[in-house]
Amino acid sequence: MNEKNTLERQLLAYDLAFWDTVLYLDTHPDSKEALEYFDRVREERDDAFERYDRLYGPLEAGLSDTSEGWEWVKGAWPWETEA
Amino acid sequence: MWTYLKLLQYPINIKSTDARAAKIIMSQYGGPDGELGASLRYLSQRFVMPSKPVVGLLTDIGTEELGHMEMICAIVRQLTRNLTPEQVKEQGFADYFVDHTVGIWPSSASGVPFSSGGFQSKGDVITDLSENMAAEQKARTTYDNILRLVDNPEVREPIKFLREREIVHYQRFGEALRKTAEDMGSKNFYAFNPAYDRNRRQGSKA
Repeated sequence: MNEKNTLERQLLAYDLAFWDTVLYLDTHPDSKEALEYFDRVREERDDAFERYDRLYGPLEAGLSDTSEGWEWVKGAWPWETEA
Repeated sequence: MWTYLKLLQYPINIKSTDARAAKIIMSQYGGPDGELGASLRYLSQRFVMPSKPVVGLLTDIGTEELGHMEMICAIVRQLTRNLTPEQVKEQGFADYFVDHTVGIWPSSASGVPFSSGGFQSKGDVITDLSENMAAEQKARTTYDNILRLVDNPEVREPIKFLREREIVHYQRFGEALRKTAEDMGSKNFYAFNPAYDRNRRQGSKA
């Protein structure tokens, strides 16, 4: 597995933990434990997203670099892997 | 309002072509218990919900389902992108191919077009949350059936992930239903529909 894949797996793991905690908090809005966990996971997720964006291009159109054309449409789309 | 993230919720990397598997899995895009219907069900139900946390839950699960819909489409795309005309015929894909080539179009495995008739937005919180619990179980059963029919681990892993998410969503909807019934503060929470009856009562006073 190359470095890009490793970072992507890491990012997706944080993203899953993040969203799973969002759903948990929707039904347990006063859980102190969940709120603290959410703060930790949000930080890890933000860091991983920032690293990924910096190394492999924007995950959101709005984060696209404009110095060498419209970066957003240059990279592969998520389903475009090698067959 | 939404923002798109250029990522699948779980990585999908399928190397071999399999139109038979694609046709079965497509049902979780546009079939009766598929991800498109799931997303539209929750995102439609939100607007009349009487409690803010329930609106939050429907928004967040409805959003996650959009990501699941994209995962299903990615699986179908990767299973069909290199199909030869011979494989189309041999693998029972000709009836789909003649209308859509290898484009992605929401229908059930048996070819019934996507329909909002597969879900409800009833305008009653107890009814809608009960529907959602059933919906998550129906999707879980469909994933179980896909796992009974498909051997390729590159396909099975993302399907197993999606199956797990149905179970988590079922759990959350169950908690929301229990909390809603408690908050209605009545021995009989079927007595009135807070999304409609209360507004009418207030209106008639004025």
